[in-house]
Amino acid sequence: MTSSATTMDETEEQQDTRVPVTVLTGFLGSGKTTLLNRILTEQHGLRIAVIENEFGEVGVDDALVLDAEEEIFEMNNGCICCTVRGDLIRILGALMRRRERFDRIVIETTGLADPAPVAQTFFMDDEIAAQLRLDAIVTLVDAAHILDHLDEVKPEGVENEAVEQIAFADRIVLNKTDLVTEEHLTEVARRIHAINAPVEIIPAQQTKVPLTRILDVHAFDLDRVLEGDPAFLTDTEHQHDTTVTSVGIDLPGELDEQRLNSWLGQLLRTKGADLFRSKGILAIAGDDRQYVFQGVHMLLEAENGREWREGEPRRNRLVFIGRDLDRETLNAEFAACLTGARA
Amino acid sequence: MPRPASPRLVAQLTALKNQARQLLELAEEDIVLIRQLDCTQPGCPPVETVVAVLPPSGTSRRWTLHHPVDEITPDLLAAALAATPTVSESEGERA
Repeated sequence: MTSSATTMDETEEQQDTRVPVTVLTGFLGSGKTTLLNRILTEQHGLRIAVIENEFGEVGVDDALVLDAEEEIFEMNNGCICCTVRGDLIRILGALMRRRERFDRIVIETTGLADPAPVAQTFFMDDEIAAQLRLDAIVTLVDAAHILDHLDEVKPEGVENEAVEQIAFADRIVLNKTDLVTEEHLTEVARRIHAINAPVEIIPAQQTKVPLTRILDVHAFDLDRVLEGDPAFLTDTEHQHDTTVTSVGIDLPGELDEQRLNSWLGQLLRTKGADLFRSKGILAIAGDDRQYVFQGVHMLLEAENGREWREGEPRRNRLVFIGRDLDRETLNAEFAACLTGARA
Repeated sequence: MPRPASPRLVAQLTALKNQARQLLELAEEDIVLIRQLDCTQPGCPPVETVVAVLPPSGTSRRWTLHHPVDEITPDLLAAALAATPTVSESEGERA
C-alpha cells in the first residue's frame, strides 16, 4: 500500500493513482439503497462504478452498475481470517479492464453480509492493493432501530451483524435522526462509540449526507482520525457493556522491530479472529520514516509514512477494534516492545 | 510485522504469477492471487503461501505451499501446481 493523505509527503500523495473504493454496509431498512440511488442519480460530476447486490448490469447516466452475488472464498481451510469475496475479486478484475470509465468504486453489501471478507479482499493480493485503495467502510444505521439490533441476543456462535457492521466502520451515517429524540440520539452515539471509539458519526435524514464526507475520505488514515478526536486513544470511559470494544494506545518512544514483530505475530495468530480492525502509526528504532499499518483480522498491510520531522518526538499510536480485548494486557505487551523496555 | 512490499518481492510475485499462468494455461481474464499466510492449523508449518486462481466464472482452484513466498522457486511452484487443487464453485461472472 502506498498512500494515506496527511501521513504522506505531498509529492507521494500526488502519486497515488489507485482507485478509491467505498464499501457501504448497513442493515435492511437503514437507507442504504436510498443513499446508493442518490450516488447514482445526483449531478455530482463523479464517475462512479457501483457493485451492488440486486440488479443486473445497467447504466444509470454516467455510472457503471454491476451485480454481485456473495461468494465467500477461503484462502485456507476453515480460517475466517483468510476469507475473501470471490465475486468481488472477479468483478473488480473485470472492472479494472475498463479503468477509463470510472474514477471511484462503491460496493454495496447485503444487510447481513460480513464486512470482513469484503475488506480482506483488498489486503489479500499485491496487484489488487496496487490498483485499488480501500478508502472507507461506511455503515448506515437506522437511528430508530439500531439499539434493538445491537441488543438482539443471537444463538451461541452466531455473530450480531449490527455490532460487526459498526465495529468495521470508518464512517457511520446515522440516518432517520428526525424519527427519534435527542436523548435517544445521544444514547445511540454512546453505544456506537462504545464499540468503535474512533468512528466518525454523520447524522442524516433521508440519507442526505454530503458525498464528500463519505467518498474519497482516506478514512484509514489514523492521522486524520486523530485530528477529529485526539483523545480517544487514551479514553477509557467507553469500556463497558459490550464485548466488542476499541483499545487505543499512545506511547512515546521507539520500538524494537524484533520485539514488535514477535508480539504482533503472536497477537494476530492467537487473537486474529477477534481483531476486527487495527490501525497504527509507529516509530521503529533506526527508521527515519513512520511505519503506517492497517489490518483486518490477521491480515495487515504496511506502508512507509512520512519522515519524522527534525525534533519531532517519536510516538506510537494504534487502535484495535475487536472482541474481548484486554486493554491492560495490550498496553503492557506493546510497551514491552519499546527499545527502553526490559526484554 | 509486515513491511511494505519491496520491489524485489513485487517482482518475485509477478514472476510467480506469470509462471502459474503459463503452467496452468490461463486466460488473461483469469485472476491469480498469491499470498503468504500465517497458518494456524495444527501440524502445519507456521507459514504457508496460497496460490489461487479465479476464472471469470466457474470453478476456483487453490494450492498451498508450505514455504514463505520468498523461498518459492519455479521448481517448487511447478510441483505444487501439478498436484490436485482444492476447488470451489461460483455462480459465474456478472460483470
